[in-house]
Amino acid sequence: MPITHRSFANLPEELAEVQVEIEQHALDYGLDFFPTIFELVDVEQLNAIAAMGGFPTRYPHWRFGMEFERLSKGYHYGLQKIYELVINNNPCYAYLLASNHYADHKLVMAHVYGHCDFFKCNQWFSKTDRKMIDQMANHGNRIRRYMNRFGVSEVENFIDACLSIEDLIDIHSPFIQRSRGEDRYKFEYNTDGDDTGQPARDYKLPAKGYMDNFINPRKKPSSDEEAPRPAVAIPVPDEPTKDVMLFLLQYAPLRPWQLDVLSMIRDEAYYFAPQGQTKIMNEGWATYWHSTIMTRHGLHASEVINYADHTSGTLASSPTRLNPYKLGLELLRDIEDRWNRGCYGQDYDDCDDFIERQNWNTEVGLGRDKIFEVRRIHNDLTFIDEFFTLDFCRRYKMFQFGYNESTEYYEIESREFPKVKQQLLFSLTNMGRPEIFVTDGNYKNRGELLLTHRHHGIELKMDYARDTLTNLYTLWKRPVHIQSVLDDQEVLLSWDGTHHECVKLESK
Amino acid sequence: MSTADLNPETPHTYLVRVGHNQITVVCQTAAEAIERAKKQLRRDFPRMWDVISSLSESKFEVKELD
Repeated sequence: MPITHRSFANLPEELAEVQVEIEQHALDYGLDFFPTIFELVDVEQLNAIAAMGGFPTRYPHWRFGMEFERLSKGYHYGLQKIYELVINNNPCYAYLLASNHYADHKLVMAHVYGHCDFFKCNQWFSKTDRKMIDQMANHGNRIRRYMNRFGVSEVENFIDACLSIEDLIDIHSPFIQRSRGEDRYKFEYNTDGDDTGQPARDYKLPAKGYMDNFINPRKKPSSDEEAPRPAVAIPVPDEPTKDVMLFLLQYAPLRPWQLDVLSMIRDEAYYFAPQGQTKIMNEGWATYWHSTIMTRHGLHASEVINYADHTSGTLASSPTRLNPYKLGLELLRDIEDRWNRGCYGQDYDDCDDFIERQNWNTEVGLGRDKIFEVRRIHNDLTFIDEFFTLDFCRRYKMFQFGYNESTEYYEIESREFPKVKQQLLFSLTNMGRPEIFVTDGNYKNRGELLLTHRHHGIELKMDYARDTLTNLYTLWKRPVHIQSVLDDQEVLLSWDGTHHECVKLESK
Repeated sequence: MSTADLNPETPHTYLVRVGHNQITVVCQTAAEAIERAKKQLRRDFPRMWDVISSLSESKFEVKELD
């Protein structure tokens, strides 16, 4: 497959040659990726780009500067180092750290091609905007325009409020039609009568959002146009709505620029969501391919030690945290081995003999095909649920741990397979965050907002909950409540604009 | 010509070398020895499954030990 848009503009000749070589190996193994553009940047530039989520141009916000400071200090104190950065876009942009060794550049390129293939081929990324680098720049322009017009503080404070609810989205909604769209057969206007009783709809040419102002120029804005939209009767959702941001977009009494900012933050949240959903798989897949390409083709004898040192650091397991690179890589290798040896299906599952299972080999050789299939359809949750087996758990000596209040230490609680798997799945469900739904937009018949926290073992952090309620009030302009469970007791947390309240609810 | 060659049922012991690895297998023919060696190597080096499977017979050096 020819890669047509390759650009070596910023790469020295020897690295451009490496790119051609590594790219060819990746293609030979069947990886399928967007054209990939590598940029060589110094550590300050890389930290600046990383601080902005990988995008060189975004809207201005204080947290990007704060993140840059954190990354810079981490680097200069020797605590952390970003080797590479790649963004899901067509073409894919990847950044190489100029101070890396030559062997590291090869490794990083091979790793990046793994990520690019994953971005292009994994179903969970299929609905993401592939021109996000342009879209982010557009968001930046729009928000700068609002800042010029309405003031930096006002816009930035509003962005803060939106960001505090950016994970209250429905990550499955791009794939499911939750509600019926507008009825195509419902005529809004009486086309037969002379007097419609409603204003004629403005004629508008079709235009993308960022071109709309130019193609359909607006009249000089009057004070009316910048006013919040009029209050409307807010429906109680038929079913609890997980996309809180969408509910606010539809019903919150916000001004037009505020709605635009909220929609931008929501679009960006949806763009980043699959990366949170596939961290283990994505890193495992990229590591699998850099390991395969480097150990078979890329490494010279003089580079082996450097490569091994780097890889051992990346794949090091820690007793206190899960390493997604390690878990993803080992699971993929386990799947490949099992499907090469035919260790799946009814016969294998029914076999109780340990030795027979160990030596099981039907020579089917389907491992590589299987891991390509897994990379296409799974996310971390389904990946772990499907392929994290008892044998795997034992082989890698995995355990469940928790905090012991009496000893004040984190301790191993269990090595039992079901508990270990359950904890892993818990930490991945909804990306480890509490599941929150809008259940009533007209609570107490007073236009107040009621959210419900579906308690599946993850409790709300009370300080976060209070601050988020305060920010939600900024958006909803009416008292906001969240129903949750605290110490096995149902409670209602409220913020009415002046007071926080926590009321125990009667058990049903 | 040995009597073993006359009797196809008699197993032979072969030393199969490929790269830095060598494996001893007991079977009837040299071709079968390579197949068995490949199977054993795939088992020993699961990460190289595709490489070992695609190796041509000429890469293997087979020596009869009997």
